[in-house]
Amino acid sequence: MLLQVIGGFSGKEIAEILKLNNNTVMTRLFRARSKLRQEFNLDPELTEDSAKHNP
Amino acid sequence: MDELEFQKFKKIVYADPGTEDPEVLQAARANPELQKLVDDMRELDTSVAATLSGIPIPAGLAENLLAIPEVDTAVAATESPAPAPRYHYYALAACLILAVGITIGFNLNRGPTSSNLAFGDNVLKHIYVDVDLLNSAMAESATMTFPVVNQVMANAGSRLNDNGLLQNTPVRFALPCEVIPSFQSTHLAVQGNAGTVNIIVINNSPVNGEFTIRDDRYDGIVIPMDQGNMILIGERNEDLDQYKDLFSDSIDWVI
Repeated sequence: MLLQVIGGFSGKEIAEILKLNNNTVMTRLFRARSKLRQEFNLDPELTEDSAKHNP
Repeated sequence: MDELEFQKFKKIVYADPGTEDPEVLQAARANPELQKLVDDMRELDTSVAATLSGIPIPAGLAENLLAIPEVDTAVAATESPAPAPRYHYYALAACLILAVGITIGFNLNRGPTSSNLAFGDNVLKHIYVDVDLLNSAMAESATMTFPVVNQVMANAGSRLNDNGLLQNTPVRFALPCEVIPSFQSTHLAVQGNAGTVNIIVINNSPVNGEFTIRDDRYDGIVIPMDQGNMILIGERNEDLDQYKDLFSDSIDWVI
């Protein structure tokens, strides 16, 4: 997240810097923000049901 | 938007709130709840950036972090000139890689090739990367229907045969994945006796024969099939043989 938020690198650039698969980078970013939301008590967020009921 | 589409939307937005993906942006415009999710994640990034920008990086932090695994490195680091600001981020990222390093032991039925070792390493890394997302999905989602599972499995040129064998072992997680770059895969999960059992189907791979994978937490089997490979990964005390039989007889290749 430091590389993305502060460094301004794209997921592809981060993957090249860290020599990781792009999917791995995106999954780790997903997990990092998920944990942040939990830590800051921002969940529950949008529920799957509410998303499903909208087109 | 069905559950699969929602999970994909959420994964993209959480991974990159500033995404320019037209499908994501269109979905957000069409659904206020999804737009709110995007806005919330962008606001979170703004808060993180504002918070971090107010915290000066202590001199020598990168060197000190890098010195943790090896004492000798600390001596060399103290003699090095101060790095450029961006180097701090590279160094911190390198520390993260070192911190999550995985030691893998292989018990091989047949002699392993270097490609087999690399393949097994990739598989376990993939499992560790996805374990939180997978556990979360397993806790939330109900059983997935065969049409939904097969929609995902088409990505890897395969499908699950609704032959009744999996009646008592329903699939509860299915997402496309890419264990090996350029080879499309599908990651399935079922509830085992000792925890989640992962089934990864790859439409091709460099594996030249069946072999097992093991580390401190997981046991696994890599099983070559007609048109690709099936990989089973479960907790150390999980009996994977039963799942080997179940899924070997239930997976059809359509490529």
